[in-house]
Amino acid sequence: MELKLNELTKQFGQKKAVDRMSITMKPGVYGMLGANGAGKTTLMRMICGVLNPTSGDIFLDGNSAENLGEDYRKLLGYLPQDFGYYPEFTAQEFMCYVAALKGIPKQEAKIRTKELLGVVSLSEVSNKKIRTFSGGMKQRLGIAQAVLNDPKILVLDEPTAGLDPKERVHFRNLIADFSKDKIIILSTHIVSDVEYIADTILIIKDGKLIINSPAENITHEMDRKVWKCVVPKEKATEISNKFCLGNLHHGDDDAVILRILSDEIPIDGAINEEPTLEDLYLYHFQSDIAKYRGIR
Amino acid sequence: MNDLFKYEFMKIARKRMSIIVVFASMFLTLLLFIMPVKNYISLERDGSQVNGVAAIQLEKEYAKELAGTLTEERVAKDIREYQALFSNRDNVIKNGNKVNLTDEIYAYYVLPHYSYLKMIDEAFVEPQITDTGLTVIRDMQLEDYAAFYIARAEKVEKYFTMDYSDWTYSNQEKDFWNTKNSHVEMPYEYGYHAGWKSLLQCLELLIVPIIAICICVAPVFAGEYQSGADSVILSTRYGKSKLIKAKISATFLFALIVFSINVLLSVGIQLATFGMDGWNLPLQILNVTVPYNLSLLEATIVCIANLYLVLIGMVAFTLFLSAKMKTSFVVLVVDILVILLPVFMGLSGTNGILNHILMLFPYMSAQPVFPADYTSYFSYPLPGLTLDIITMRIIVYAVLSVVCIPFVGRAFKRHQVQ
Ligand SMILES: Nc1ncnc2c1ncn2[C@@H]1O[C@H](COP(=O)(O)OP(=O)(O)O)[C@@H](O)[C@H]1O
Ligand SMILES: [Mg+2]
Repeated sequence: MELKLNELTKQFGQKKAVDRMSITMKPGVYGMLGANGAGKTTLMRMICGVLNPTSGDIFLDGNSAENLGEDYRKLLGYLPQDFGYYPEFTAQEFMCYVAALKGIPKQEAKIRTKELLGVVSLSEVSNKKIRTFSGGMKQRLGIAQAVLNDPKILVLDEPTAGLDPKERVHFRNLIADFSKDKIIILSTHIVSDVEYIADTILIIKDGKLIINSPAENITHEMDRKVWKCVVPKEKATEISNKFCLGNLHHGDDDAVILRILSDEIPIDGAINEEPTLEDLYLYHFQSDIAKYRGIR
Repeated sequence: MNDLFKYEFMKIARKRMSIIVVFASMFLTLLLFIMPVKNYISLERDGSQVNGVAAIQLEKEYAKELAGTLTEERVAKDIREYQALFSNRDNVIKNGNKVNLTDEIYAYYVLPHYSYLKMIDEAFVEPQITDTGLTVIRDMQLEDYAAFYIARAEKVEKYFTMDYSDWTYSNQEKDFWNTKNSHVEMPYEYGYHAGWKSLLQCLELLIVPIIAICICVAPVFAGEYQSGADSVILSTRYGKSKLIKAKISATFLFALIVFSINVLLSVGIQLATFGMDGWNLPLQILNVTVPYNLSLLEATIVCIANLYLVLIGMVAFTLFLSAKMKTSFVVLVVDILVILLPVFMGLSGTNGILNHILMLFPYMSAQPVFPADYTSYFSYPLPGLTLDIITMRIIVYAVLSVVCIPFVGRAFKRHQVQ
């Protein structure tokens, strides 16, 4: 199975939300990282056929997804970023409804529903109206409905939003178990969500795919760019404004320990450290982060 | 039963808004159709007033005295009897050159048979004139027979030659109506018919449940866009195919159930209290010149069928708007405007073509055409073919439904989540 995006573009007025994105995906977990507004949601909507691209194509094993229609959609599982639930439905009814939409036979739907509601720890509330659910419960129900049809292509838009740390871990395990022979694309702006489960990291910035790399060697480009600097307190602000700052914490005495991301050695005495995905992410979004801090 | 259909039906029927609106409209229907019963008034022969069910009973007795075939001889006899009241000096009060019956005589002889006498009188009155004092039959010179049906035919002929500010009947239309009139059975049968009369006057109130149903079905598609469920639905296998069929059929089933309950309530209340009597009497005893050869029962069925068509057309139109628009609120605003447009605009005094269009809007289309002369001879002359207003409504609402439905699916399939 091969899912291929060819020069996929979506333009809203003058703004190119997704800009000529090309990528070929084989079974595996794709972690899509990008700041808010990078174009992740727009891209996923196009992959799931609910938004038409301005130009470009999506191919599944060489056939255009648009032409495949139902045959393409039956392989899909999709958790949209913010999506509507029917407040008057119970969790079970909602699952059975989605199962009917996905063409799962009634008996099988019942079994799958029961099983999946168990997996996302909603068994006890399966007969409660969704209206009474918390954000995290709704999100878990959303994940459960996405995998109902055992999709070959699973698209999850910010799946961990609203989940507490324990639920996040649980979610990661769920995906790891599920991922065999499937293309799983999940977006997030939280690095740790994908750090452990993604086989491939995609980094999107301003609608463009800037990094597409296997997770194992993703940090190679950051080798020798991550620096640990110990500086006196009064100099800390000045230095952190000048460079891309990965982290900051107060050491003993008056010293502050800075993690600086820089191509060159930032100050004398700085020493190289092992890079992480977070470093890479911050490094690429430093201008945005700087903007966020109100600098430049 | 198909699962998708079941869930779509649940979505409509379980919405709080739907439940409230449906019950409110049923309550209103109950109220609106009980009122004519509760407020029904008859007068005893001594002039004392009776209300409600007792009044209906009294009306039944009065009508029994009049039951029978309205032959020319019978009409002549009844007119003569009425005129005879005036020849007895003790019966009248002179007021200048006006002669009126005394209250006692009027209450004893005229009031119990007033609507019958009024109906006879109407055949002789000039078009567009109402003779509440029954002066025309009082003053007319009677031959051996009354020439009641001839007078009716002459009055109809006048309808076509009169000057209207907004319309001129073409020969094609005249021929059409004359042919239609030639099928009206004469002489008429008369008898008690208060239930059907009341029903035919009230049926237009069923526009209320039609509006209520439109409110309930407005979110069928737009609600999915609004809640954001659209992205899940449209990305599923059957989201762009079977689901659309399920939504459309669930919507129509819901609409038909709710509307039928309202129809049963309204018809049930009135026929249970007034009785079914008179169902086979001709429509003409309500309005002498009506050109439709229908019994009161048939006329009622025509009105109800007409209401069902308006309902189906409006539901189809609402579904189309719902698939096209982003929110149910916009759908409702457009719906209400379309339904009530003739109310906001009012019929024109001079623009007949505009009036012919306005008469096809839902609010107008819910009204029975039979009681008024204006609507009972309302026709649409097309090249080579004249359609009466009832047929025209049937065509308009059938076409509206048939045209809207395919576009519903198209609009939903093409919906962009953004
Ligand atoms: N319907 C729309 N109309 C106009 N601009 C849009 C629309 N949807 C998204 N955008 C813009 O496209 C860009 C990408 O948005 P989005 O795909 O939601 O990003 P992300 O999911 O990565 O946060 C943003 O700048 C957003 O403002
Ligand atoms: Mg997003």
